[in-house]
Amino acid sequence: MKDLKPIIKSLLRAKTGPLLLLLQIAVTYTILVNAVFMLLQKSEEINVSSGLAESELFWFQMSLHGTREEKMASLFRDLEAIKGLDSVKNAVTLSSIPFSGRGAGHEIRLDRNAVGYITKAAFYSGSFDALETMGLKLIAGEGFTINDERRLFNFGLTVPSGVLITKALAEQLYPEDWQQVLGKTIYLNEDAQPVRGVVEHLIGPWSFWKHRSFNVLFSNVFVTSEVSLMVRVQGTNIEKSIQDVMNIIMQEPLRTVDHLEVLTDLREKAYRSQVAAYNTLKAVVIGLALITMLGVFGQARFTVLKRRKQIGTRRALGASQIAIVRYYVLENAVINVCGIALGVLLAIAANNLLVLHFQLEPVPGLYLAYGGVIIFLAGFFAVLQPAIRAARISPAEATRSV
Amino acid sequence: MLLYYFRLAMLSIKKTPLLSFLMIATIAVGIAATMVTYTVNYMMSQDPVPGKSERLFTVHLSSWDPNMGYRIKDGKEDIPIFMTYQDATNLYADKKAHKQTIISFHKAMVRGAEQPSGQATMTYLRPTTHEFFSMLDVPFLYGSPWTEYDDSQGSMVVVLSKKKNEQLFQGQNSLGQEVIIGGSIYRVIGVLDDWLPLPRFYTENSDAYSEPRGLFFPFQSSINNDWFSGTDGSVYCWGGVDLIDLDAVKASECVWLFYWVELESAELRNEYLAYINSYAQEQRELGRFQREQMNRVMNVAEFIEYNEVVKKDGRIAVWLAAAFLIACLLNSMSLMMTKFHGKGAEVGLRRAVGASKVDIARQFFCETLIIGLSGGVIGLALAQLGLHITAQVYSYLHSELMDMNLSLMLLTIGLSVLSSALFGLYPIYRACQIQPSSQLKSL
Repeated sequence: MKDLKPIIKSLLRAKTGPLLLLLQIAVTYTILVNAVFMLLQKSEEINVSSGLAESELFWFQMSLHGTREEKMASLFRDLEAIKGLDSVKNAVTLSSIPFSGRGAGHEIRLDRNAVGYITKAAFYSGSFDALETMGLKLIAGEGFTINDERRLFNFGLTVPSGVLITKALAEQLYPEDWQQVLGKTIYLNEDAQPVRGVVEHLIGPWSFWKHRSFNVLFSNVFVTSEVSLMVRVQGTNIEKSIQDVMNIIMQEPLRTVDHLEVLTDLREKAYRSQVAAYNTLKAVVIGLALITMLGVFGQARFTVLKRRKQIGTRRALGASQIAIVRYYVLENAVINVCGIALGVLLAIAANNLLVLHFQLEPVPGLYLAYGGVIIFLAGFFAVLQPAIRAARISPAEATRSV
Repeated sequence: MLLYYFRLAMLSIKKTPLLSFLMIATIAVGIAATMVTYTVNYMMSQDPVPGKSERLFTVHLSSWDPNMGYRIKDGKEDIPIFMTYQDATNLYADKKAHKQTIISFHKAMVRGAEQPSGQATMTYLRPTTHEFFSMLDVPFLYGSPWTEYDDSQGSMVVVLSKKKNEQLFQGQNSLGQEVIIGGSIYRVIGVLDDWLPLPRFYTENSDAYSEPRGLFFPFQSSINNDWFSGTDGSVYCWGGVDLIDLDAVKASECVWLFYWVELESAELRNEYLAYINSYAQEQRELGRFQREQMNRVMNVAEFIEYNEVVKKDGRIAVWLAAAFLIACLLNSMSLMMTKFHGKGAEVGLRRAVGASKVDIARQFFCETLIIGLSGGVIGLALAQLGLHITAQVYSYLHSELMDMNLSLMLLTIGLSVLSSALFGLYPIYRACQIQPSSQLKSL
């Protein structure tokens, strides 16, 4: 530690080089902390569980034709026929499809007359057995039975037929104890609905939506001229199931089909922009780390070069190789710590700007600490090689050109 | 003299190849990263209808449920960006603007009349009115838009995009040919040339960076055909509406149509808004429009901003990349300090034989410029590579977004030269301060 005084003195004398390095470290730290935090958030977003048996599900849209009654009859005729297939476990119709970007949402209130809303939630309205078919888990209350299923030409939300909600939504409504929500009435826009049960987890139709874990299920089959069907396959041959289902529904002469997709593919498509942004961020972080290490490395080599003579003199006066290495490592550490300290301030400022202008979440303090440790270690490894080289300078060097 | 300095600079660069390479490489990497993100962001937010975007407006009406706001945006009540059928057709019939158009959506199975029915494909369609093409400056390869008469009659005529024409008719002049759309026969009266407005501002933001729909036909003909599909666009309703057929939707308060107008000048905006408000007042007297009236018109730039077409991720990336460039420049600056420091003896000698500080500054400035320029050129090459990779990663976005135009290329080089010159100032200043005596002593 007795080296510290001369280090600081010499740094103060020739300050430009170290100052530049310090600034570079500070800027790097700022970007790194913010970028890594965004990276981890994105990764969480991309890998979020959907609550669905994704690999066993596929969906499609199909057209219905004729009068209202014919449309409804044709939908249920096809649903029954699909359910009868050996390669199909179950089939349901749904108003919204997870990840598809197609669906509808409500403002949720506990008090009908409240001005603001507590949160927004998407709704899934469809066959009574949609819950089991999608592979969702009911964790409280009761689900729907066939007697609850209503068949309508509009959303029919004005009748309080009861809803299931996701646990995340229940927790949002009753933060102390989400189980309280059972039996309570919630308001979807202005329509009252009693909560019958709670589903462990279900993702919403919009992958990027901040309320994507807040969802409401109805057992109202909503018939329009184009309906969405979700099919759970039996066994592992999903291609065969799709073929079987298509054979059935294409018997209707005017029928058109759109979007036929396995849910795993749908998920991939929904997240491709986030995945792309994630990869870009990753490239920035890696590039930055490399550039900074290069900077530290170059700076250290330069100082070694500049001080060949002094090093030789010190060695001649009895300094061990270890002492030389220690000197450089310590010098680097001083610059690093100052750089990180400045970086912390910059990172907080930058993060505040990001929060202000881009509505991002603030970086937790822990990231600042981790970032500091990582930068410090990177700097340490970058300086090692030049320091060891410096230690190898022979004492003879000092005497040679005097 | 300048030439001499350049020769000296080249010599100096050659003498320390590793250091020079590192400097050029760090600048190039920083420039490339900045320009890749900037290009994508720039291309995303450019003006889709240059020269006209100030005069094109979309109209939004306060026709929503008296009991319940449409939605809350940024803490305030907001009104729909779509219009009801009644309002769109009422305003269209009034023809109060220089030009106006209704933009709808539909999807159906489509094939050329000669193709077997098995070859029909599900296609997204654009029912609109004839003004659409002239309002948005859409170029035609063959034929022309349909006429006002076709709009009023709902004629079964269709305009194909260039791409659709290639798919259906192998790119030939297909005027007069027939296309089967959802079982109805449409006659081709026009084929578009390449047309790719980016962002595609006139619809929803999720479609902003994809290709325009490939088939256009009179809105009235889709009404005549009773076509309505709520699944390939947005329909928002209040009151218990049966969305099962078009007649119900037409009479309802459901909003689903985009309405755009072109005014003769941007100054007529308030006048037009006054007309919209008086229309709303009339409707209010008839019992509709019972909410507080927030009717508005938005020009292209305002609507793009409002609709959040340019994703914030992109803008964050530009800032990140700019910070990254600064880190690179700092790095390069410290390398430059190293380099100029190593040349103390040379500076001392030149100063001793009569060179002024300005001469020294010029010499090093030339060197900085060469490094900046090389960094820019390599950076440009790296940026092209980066954009190519970006186009692969963001394959769902239109690849035209990842193309640099000439001004962006010049900007790349300019940015590199300018920033390295700026960051070179201090090292140059330091080099000029070297005292000849101190250096000559140790020679």
